[in-house]
Amino acid sequence: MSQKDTLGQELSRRGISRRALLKFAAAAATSLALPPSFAPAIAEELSKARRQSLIWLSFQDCTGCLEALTRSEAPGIERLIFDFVSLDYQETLMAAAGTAAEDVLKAVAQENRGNYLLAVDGSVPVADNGVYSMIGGRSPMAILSELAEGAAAVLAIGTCAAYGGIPKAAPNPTGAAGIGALVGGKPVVNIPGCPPIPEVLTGVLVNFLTFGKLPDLDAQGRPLAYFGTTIHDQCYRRPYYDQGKFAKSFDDAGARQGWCLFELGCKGPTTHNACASLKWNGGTSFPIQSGHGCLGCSEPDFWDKGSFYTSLSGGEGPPWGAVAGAAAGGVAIGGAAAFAARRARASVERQLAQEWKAQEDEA
Amino acid sequence: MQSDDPFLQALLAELRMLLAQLLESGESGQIDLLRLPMAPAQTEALRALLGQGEIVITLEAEGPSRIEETRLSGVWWVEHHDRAGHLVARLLEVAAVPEIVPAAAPDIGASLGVLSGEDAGKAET
Repeated sequence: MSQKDTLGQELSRRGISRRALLKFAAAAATSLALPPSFAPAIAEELSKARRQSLIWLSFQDCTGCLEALTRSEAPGIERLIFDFVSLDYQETLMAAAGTAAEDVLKAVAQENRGNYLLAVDGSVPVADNGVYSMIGGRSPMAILSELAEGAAAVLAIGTCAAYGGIPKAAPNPTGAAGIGALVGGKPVVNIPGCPPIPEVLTGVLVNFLTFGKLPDLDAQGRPLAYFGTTIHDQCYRRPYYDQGKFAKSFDDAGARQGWCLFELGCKGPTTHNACASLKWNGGTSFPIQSGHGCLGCSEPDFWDKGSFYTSLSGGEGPPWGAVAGAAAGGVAIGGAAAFAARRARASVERQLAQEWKAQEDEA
Repeated sequence: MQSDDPFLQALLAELRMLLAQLLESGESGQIDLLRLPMAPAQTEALRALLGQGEIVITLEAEGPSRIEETRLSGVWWVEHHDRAGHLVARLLEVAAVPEIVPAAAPDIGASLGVLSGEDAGKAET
């Protein structure tokens, strides 16, 4: 596909119908939180769009972001990247390696100077001149500075690229930092999450191709359409929170009835993301629907904010210490102690059941 | 048609408004059900409440879609899936016929071109 061709021409050549484009536009409107009536306009503008050059760099990352994005099948992120966008450089996906890959990068950046989108996953190590993640003999900071300078905009994909993420967790030995803290003079869109929701990247790209601009952002540089509300505000368990109905343990009667997971450490009330509406794996589920509280992975420094199982009000959550301590003792000193540990756990469970019953009686 | 669930009551009120708009001005409307914080049970309850009408349309375009008339004429339950079968859009569309169904003028023109080309071919032979 030539970069001069419009997407509409290319789709027509491939026998992809107007209805298929309308359908994709309906999914995109859903994803972008636009009214569904925008779908025909999105389809119209997309069909006129020309191929967008995208350069993708990976720094201190675990490749989980790329895994999540490329393995997504809805609403077709792979198709979007490979059909709507010219993914000109991505070390993990491209066939070229070594100096051949570096030559491609130089050529693409020069040819599309001022127009390409620069996507980055992973944080940038700035301590000790970046020696912790050298690529082709150059520090990530040097590569980022050079390519950001020629980009139309920078997309920080995943929590590590957005805010430093897990590499930045205390004591942060590599001096890891997020892209927004290092790149000046260019618009930076943060798409955090560990990993980020694939549809959010799709939405940002569709927004750029359709409206010729980046989406509106919140104070943390995240697209408002996806990060404008908290998980808690969109959560289907929210009515239980309002009624004061909380699960006290992961397998108690409240948990089985789908009550709110706040007291088990759910970070939904302080976490901005679209997991509760877009969900994961083709809309199948999201952590809270699967019975576990939100970890708050799309917020800065989520790894250093205390236990995932401590409630936001400061409660301690389930008595893990008692259970784990007893179980550890059992392993250490043999079968009799293990039996005692099981009894200790059973005792904890009985205590929880009694508390539970007392609460129900009160209610 | 009523529900005890306040959330579904609000949705039914919006449907009422969209139907009145369709009748008065001919303007169609949609409600995006995937963006609403609905529990799976609420989605099922809404589907059961709206019931089944006379028409079911299946569409094969980069994955299957199912477009079902509800027992409220003019209210359609639309579900689009991608090639992998994952649900990518679930809409309530209030229209005489959902927008994605009718053939568009450029496509009709292309069909005419195909047939005209065939006719021309026969004339030549």
